[in-house]
Amino acid sequence: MKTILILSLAVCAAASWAQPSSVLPKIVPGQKTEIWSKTGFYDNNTREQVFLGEVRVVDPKIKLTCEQLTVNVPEPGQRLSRLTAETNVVIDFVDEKSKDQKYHVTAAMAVYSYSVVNSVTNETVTFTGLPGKPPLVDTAQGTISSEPLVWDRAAGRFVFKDYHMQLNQSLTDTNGPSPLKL
Amino acid sequence: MKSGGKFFWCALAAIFCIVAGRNLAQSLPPIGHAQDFSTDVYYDPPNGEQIKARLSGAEAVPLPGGLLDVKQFHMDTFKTNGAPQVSATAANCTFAPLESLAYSSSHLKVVSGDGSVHVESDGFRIVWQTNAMSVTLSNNVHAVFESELMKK
Repeated sequence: MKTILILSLAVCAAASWAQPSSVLPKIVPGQKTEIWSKTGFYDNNTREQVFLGEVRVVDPKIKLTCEQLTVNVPEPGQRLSRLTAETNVVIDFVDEKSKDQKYHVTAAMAVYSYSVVNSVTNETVTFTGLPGKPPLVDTAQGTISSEPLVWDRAAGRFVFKDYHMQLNQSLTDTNGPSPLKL
Repeated sequence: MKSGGKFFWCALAAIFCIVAGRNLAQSLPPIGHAQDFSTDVYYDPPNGEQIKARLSGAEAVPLPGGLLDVKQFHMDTFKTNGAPQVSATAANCTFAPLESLAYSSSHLKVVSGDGSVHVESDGFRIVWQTNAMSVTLSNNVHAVFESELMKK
């Protein structure tokens, strides 16, 4: 697709992002995810747990804040298939294999989706913004805005559309931060 | 958990039957005092043999308006196959049987049937309906998702 730039994660992001251990839905055994909020609501019929007001999510690999978080609580033995964070969504995480590589994503909404169709795993986090305020991902190498910004966890890559990139480094200076791998 | 305390009056049983969706509201006997009570609510047919919820408390004191002040509130819900679904405990709550409603400003602890999700809050409101239950968590919500939840 001409309008879509697919960034292979290469050294920077790939490894840990492709692993099923970051963000909320998957947790390595022995680890756990904690969520705090001002108020909440659970509907046993829809199995939706909604956290409202100053929502904070912490697991060993990620920190997420937003104003509303909706978790579709899976049946016992099943895995989480959908999670929606809304309003002032901020996610921080560090790449496992390159400890110095930090990612900071801001968006109006983030939707995690997991499904397996015909033995093909689809696992994405789709970030969307507001008019004139697209989602942003910040790294030491630069900032990229895109509407939407899709983190394809199954494929281990980001998908950008109508993106804008601002680099924090010279393309020729070898003494600065390691080059952004595209 | 005892099944029926020495002060467990028939009135309380009638009240809890309402939770099961049986409209006995118009024929409620006077509400009395109960201690160490426990009562089961069953699914409607064809799962009528399966327990839907087990409500218990250390003490239930009648309040004006047909309400009950329940101490050591404990509720377990079960799926139609008998598997535990949710367990909720609180130091006390006000139980409104005519509205199938329980509410309190006390601390609530909820654990999913498989122990993979723990939720706590200060204050709550639980509403039972025929086929559903909703829980409003009032303040200072804290949830912990254990790793087991994420297993495939």
